[in-house]
Amino acid sequence: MLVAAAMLLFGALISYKLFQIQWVEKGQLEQSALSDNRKLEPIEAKRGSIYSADGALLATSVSSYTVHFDPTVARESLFEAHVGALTDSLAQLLAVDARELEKRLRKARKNKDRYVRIASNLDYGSYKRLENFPIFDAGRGKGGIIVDSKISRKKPLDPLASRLVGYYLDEGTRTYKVGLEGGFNDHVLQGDNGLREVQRIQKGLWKPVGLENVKEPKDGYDLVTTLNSNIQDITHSTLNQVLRKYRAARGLAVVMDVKTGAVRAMSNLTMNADSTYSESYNAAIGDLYEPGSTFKLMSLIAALEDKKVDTSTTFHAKYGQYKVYDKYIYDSRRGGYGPINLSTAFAVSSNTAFAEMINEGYKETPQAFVNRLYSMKLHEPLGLPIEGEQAPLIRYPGEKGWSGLSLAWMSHGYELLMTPLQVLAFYNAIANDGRYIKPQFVSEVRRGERVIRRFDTEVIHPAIASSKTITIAQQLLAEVVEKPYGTAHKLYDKHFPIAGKTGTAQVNYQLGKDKVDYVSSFAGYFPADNPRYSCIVVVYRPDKNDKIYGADVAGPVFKSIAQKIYATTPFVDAVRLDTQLTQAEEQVELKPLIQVTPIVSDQLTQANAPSLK
Amino acid sequence: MSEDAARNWRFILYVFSLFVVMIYAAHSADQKVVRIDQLNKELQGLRNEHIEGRRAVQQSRLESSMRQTLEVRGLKPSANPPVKIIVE
Repeated sequence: MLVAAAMLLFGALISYKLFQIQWVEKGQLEQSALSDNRKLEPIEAKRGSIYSADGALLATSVSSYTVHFDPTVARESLFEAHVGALTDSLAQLLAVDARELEKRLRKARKNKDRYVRIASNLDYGSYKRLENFPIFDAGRGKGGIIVDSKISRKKPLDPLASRLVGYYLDEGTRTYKVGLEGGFNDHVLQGDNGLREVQRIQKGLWKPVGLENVKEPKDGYDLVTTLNSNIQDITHSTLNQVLRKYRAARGLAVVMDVKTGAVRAMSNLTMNADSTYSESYNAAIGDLYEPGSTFKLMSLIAALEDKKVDTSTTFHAKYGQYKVYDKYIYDSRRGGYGPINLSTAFAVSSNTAFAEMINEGYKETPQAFVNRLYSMKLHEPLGLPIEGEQAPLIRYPGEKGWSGLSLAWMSHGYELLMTPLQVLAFYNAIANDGRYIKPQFVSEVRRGERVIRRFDTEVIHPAIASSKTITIAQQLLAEVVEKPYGTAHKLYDKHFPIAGKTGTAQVNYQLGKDKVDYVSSFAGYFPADNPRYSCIVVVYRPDKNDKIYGADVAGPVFKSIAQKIYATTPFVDAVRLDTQLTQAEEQVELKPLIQVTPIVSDQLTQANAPSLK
Repeated sequence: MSEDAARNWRFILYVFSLFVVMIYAAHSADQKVVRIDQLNKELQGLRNEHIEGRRAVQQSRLESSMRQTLEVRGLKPSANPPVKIIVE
């Protein structure tokens, strides 16, 4: 009887508990079971890689490894026998002191510290080496090595074009979008993470549940840029050399393909605290500066188009100074040049001649000058796919900052602001016979071999000036280098003709004569007779006690880049072999007929081909 | 009753073998997951190795690195372009 009652009670208790678990605590328990044992895991999408036009890898995702050590795992015998060898190997790999490290590990082992950091952000090669070190090679269970990997971005050609390639950083509160990584992040490089349900099967190991993913990941697309790794290399090392020589604060160089606008190289080097240079800021795109004499090309085009001057016009500024109201504009040569014509004025870069040209020509209707500049789109930003481009500043008469002196100052590149890339784009337009095209950084979006999207040349203005004006401008740009009195004559090379304009602009002139610094630049294109590449070089604040002129500092960088491109572009000769057979002779006579027919227009200058000896 | 007993034992054996199959299947699936994980890590490793190698090749074929290496041997970059001859 008692037994039956006891069993009944027992049964009732069990039922009650069952009821509780099944119905009452159901919600809570389900939750904790799900959260402990199952979860929704994101499937990381692979970020797209960035390539140069010639196939070099510019940016890609790699694993970086962080290694910790649990010194308590290894058995006494194993530890004692090998800890010395381990620390020796680690010391060599990580450049740390072996004995210090050994002391640290022993101390950690004694104190039961189970998580000693050994190295972080190791590349794969170093990690593999480390895996084979004594004690570590016994694995996690017997040796105590703990490895974590995470995906990080790597630039194999660093520091080449490093700032242009850029980076994308999402810190939750802020995102940093720099360069191409930033500009093409959304919808291109960054993929879409997927989702799947997983179940825990071992500590730290989860297994996917179900046949399909909750959401499929979509990997990012790859980007093919217009950069050429060889031209970039040449540009970077030449620029670096010159910047170090003149201890300049900053320098940049950009090389563009004239016909397509493709940017083949972009180098931006800024001086660090320790006097080395790194790609820390994209000044080519983001820095507004007073272009100085390189703007004389723009003034020239405006004055020619508006028929204010022609090639026969003479300028008479006396003693190398031109007066506007109560202020003077000076030539860089003391005493000036005497009466000179238009082409000479451009070749010697006479400030007074240009001040006279624009001031006399437009003082009745100054808005005509600015309107002409606006018609050539000089006041508009280029509209680049990268963040950070600044809009140019070209004031309109009557605007705040405009004065009776403005025409004279603007004529030779002061009182207005442009970025170096904007200046280059204009020079490229002249090289391109008046067709103003947009600088292009990316040519294709791809997934593997498949081209998803192609980017074509974008035209900003089909013809910025009449062909007559363009032809005159091209001639004058060539004479800057050709003519012995041209400011860039020292850049002259009979093997290949270059055309361009020097610039030596003053900065900080408002702070007084001793605080003045210079920005030395050269913008132009080559070969002058059949333009293939346009290029701008700007060097900020070279050593004042050394050289400062555009021709001396920036020009040689330009020439060096042009020379190296010339020297590495093969001259192609195609030879056609025609044979004629004649009959009835014992020996068949072959009469070869050799014709030299240049088939490919790869060569830079036909006329200047090196001779075969 | 031995008939029933034999049938019961056969049934128990049947259920038991089902259990074994089920356990084996689940274990096999788990093992596959571990193997996939292993292979993924290996793949990642190989890819990293490839990128390291590619980086080395890209760096060494640059004009600036070649110039440095060959300067020791007294070689300098040419001032004139090479001539490519195509014979058809």
